[in-house]
Parts: sequence; structure tokens; C-alpha cells
Amino acid sequence: MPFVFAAALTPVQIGVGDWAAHFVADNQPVKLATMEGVFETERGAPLHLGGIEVDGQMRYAIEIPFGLSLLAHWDPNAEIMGLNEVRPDRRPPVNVVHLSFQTMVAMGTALLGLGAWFALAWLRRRDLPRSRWFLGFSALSGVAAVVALEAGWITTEVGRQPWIVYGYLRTADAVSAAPGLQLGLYALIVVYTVLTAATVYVLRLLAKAPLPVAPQETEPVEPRVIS
Amino acid sequence: MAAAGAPLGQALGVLFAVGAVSGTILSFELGILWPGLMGIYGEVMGLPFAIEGIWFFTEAIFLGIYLYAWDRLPPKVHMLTAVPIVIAGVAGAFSVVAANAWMNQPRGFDLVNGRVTNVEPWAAMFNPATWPQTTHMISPPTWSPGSGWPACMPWRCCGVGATATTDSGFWCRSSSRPR
Repeated sequence: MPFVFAAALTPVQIGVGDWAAHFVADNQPVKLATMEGVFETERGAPLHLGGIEVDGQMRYAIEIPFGLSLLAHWDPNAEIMGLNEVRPDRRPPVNVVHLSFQTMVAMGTALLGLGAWFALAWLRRRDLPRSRWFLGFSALSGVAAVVALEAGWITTEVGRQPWIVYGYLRTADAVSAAPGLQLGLYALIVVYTVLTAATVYVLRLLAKAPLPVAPQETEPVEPRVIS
Repeated sequence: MAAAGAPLGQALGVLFAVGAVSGTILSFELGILWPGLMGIYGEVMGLPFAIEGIWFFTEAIFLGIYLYAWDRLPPKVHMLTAVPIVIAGVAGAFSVVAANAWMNQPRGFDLVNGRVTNVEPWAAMFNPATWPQTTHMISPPTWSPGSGWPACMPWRCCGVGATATTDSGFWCRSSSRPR
């Protein structure tokens, strides 16, 4: 059941992501250029897969010709604004945003693949895929979903920099001028780490308690300890 | 709370409590860390935060009913008490992400000589980025547990010293038979 849910919703999520990306392309071109590592304004801009920014250029990326223009505006010759049009102090950090965005898309695509695998097996045999690889990837999919979520937030938040209110207020002008702010950060890291550890501990305790046998279970399964 | 499924309800309670604690810290931080933001624009973007507070209380109240009435209400009525939790969770998420969307597409005010005037809180809350961003943000948390839940099962079944009980036993028998 949860798999049906995940398998059905991932394509929806990618469609919604496409909508959000179009919105960014139309309204926050600087963020788009940062997400995609575009420096020179050009028509028919290629899509960069991977790669890092070195001295104002994308290096080591796989380029898909016209890919970015096509994805952002449904037009292979659409013009994509480059970061060089923006004052250097108004550009977000390219590597953080580009890599987070790519991570999010990669995780989303991987989860789509896993969902498709499940759907195929279900349609053919009304059962889960038999491969142990499927179980392995399923175990990782929970982590992948959380990583995708966080990477997406890093993309949109860091991609808005240096603005906290886009076009009106810079983050540097909004932050408190009080000294010793980093102490608060350290304290928060400690508090949140303790909270996380406590949550995991309590949830594991709950998970260890055996669930009552559901009424439809006919043969009770022997509890066994796997070492 | 010995009824079937009660551990899941307790897990929900634990997660809600942790979310409430960490969220309270965050709401204080808005004022303490970002006086430049909240001081100037608080009146513009405050509305979605206030609405989020109302949804949070709705969620807390019905979660209390849901947990403590586990054995005291007929199952169908008990199920109904979970509905406001879901609605409040989604609506609360909408509110905070709307506030974030406003930071991307600030609307609902005029800046005259560096001062904020003509504040329209609803226009700020429903700025152009609100719908794409809330939709993009609300669907994954509904969907990542969809991944997280099956993700736990192979872990419990095949890994890390777990005791395989009926639920993971079901998974093992119906899928892979790992041994």
C-alpha cells in the first residue's frame, strides 16, 4: 500500500516540480541561472548534468544541447539569462545551489525509477519485485526522500541569496547585529542533536514492541532474532 | 492504549511533540535572529504565521483526542477524530510555505521612503509564488513517508539485529524470503 502511494505520487511530484521550475524561470531568473550554472546569457542553452563551477565557468558537466531552454520555457531557442548580467555581490553561490538542485532531481528520478519497477512487477504478477536489489533500494528510498527534501530547501533558500526578501531586503541587513550569535547556533546544534537522538531512541523502543496479531493472521509467525 | 495499532499512534504523538518543541524554537528565532526582517516586514508577512498557529492548535487538540480516546470511542468515530489532524497538518504547512513564498515574491505592500505602507496581508499571503511553492512543498512530505514506510520494512526484516514480528514477517513472506 505505501508503495502504491509512493509509486503513484512520485510522477505527480515531478510534474509539480516542473511547474515550480517554470515559475522560477519566469520570475527569478537569477535563481534559475544559479541552479543550472549558466554564466553567459544565451539562446538554446544546454542543460548541465553534474559539474562544478570554477572561476565563473561550469567544468566537468555533461551538457545536453538545448536542454535547459527546452525544460524552462518549452522552447529549444528560448533565451536564458546568465549570471554575468548580475552584479557579483548579487549572485548566489553557484556550487551549493547547483549541486543541491541536482541532488534533489537525481533523488526524485531514482525514486521514480523505483516506483516504475514496482508498478511493472505489480502489473505483471500482482506481487512485489522478487529481486533482493529491490529490497535494498527500498531501504535506501526513505533516506533518499529526506535528502531530496532538504536539498530542495537548500536550493530555494540559498538560491535567493543575497536577498532575504527578494529585491527588497538583504539577508545581511536583516540579521541581528548582536555579538556572539554563533553561540546560539552551537547551543541549537546541541539541542537539536539531543532531540533527534531521543526521538530515534523512543521510536526504536516503540518499534521493538511486538504488534498485536491482526485478526486475519491465521499462522502466527515465530518471532526470530536475526543477528 | 493496548489496542491494535496503538504503537503507531504513540509514534505519531512522539513525532508531534518533537515537531512542536523544535518549531517553538524556530518561531522565537524569527524575532531574535532576524529583527531586520520581522521589524520591517512582520506586519506584511505575519498573517500566514498567525493562521499557522491556529492550525497548530487544532492539530494539537485533535491529536490529544485521537490518542486518549483510543479505547473510549467506537472505531469509526475514533477514525473521524484523525481527519482534522490531517487537514490541520496540510493547512499549517500551506501557511508557513506561503510565508516563505512571500520572501521569493514579496507583494502586498508599498515601500515609501524606506517605510512599509499600504499593507495588504492577504495579497502578501497569496503572492504569485504561493501556489507553485506550496504544492511543490506539500506533496513530498505526503510522499516521503510513502517511501519511508516500505524503507523501514526491509531494514527490520533483514538487518540490524531487529526482532522480526508479524508486520515485517508479512513483508518477508509476501516478497523476498531473505533466508
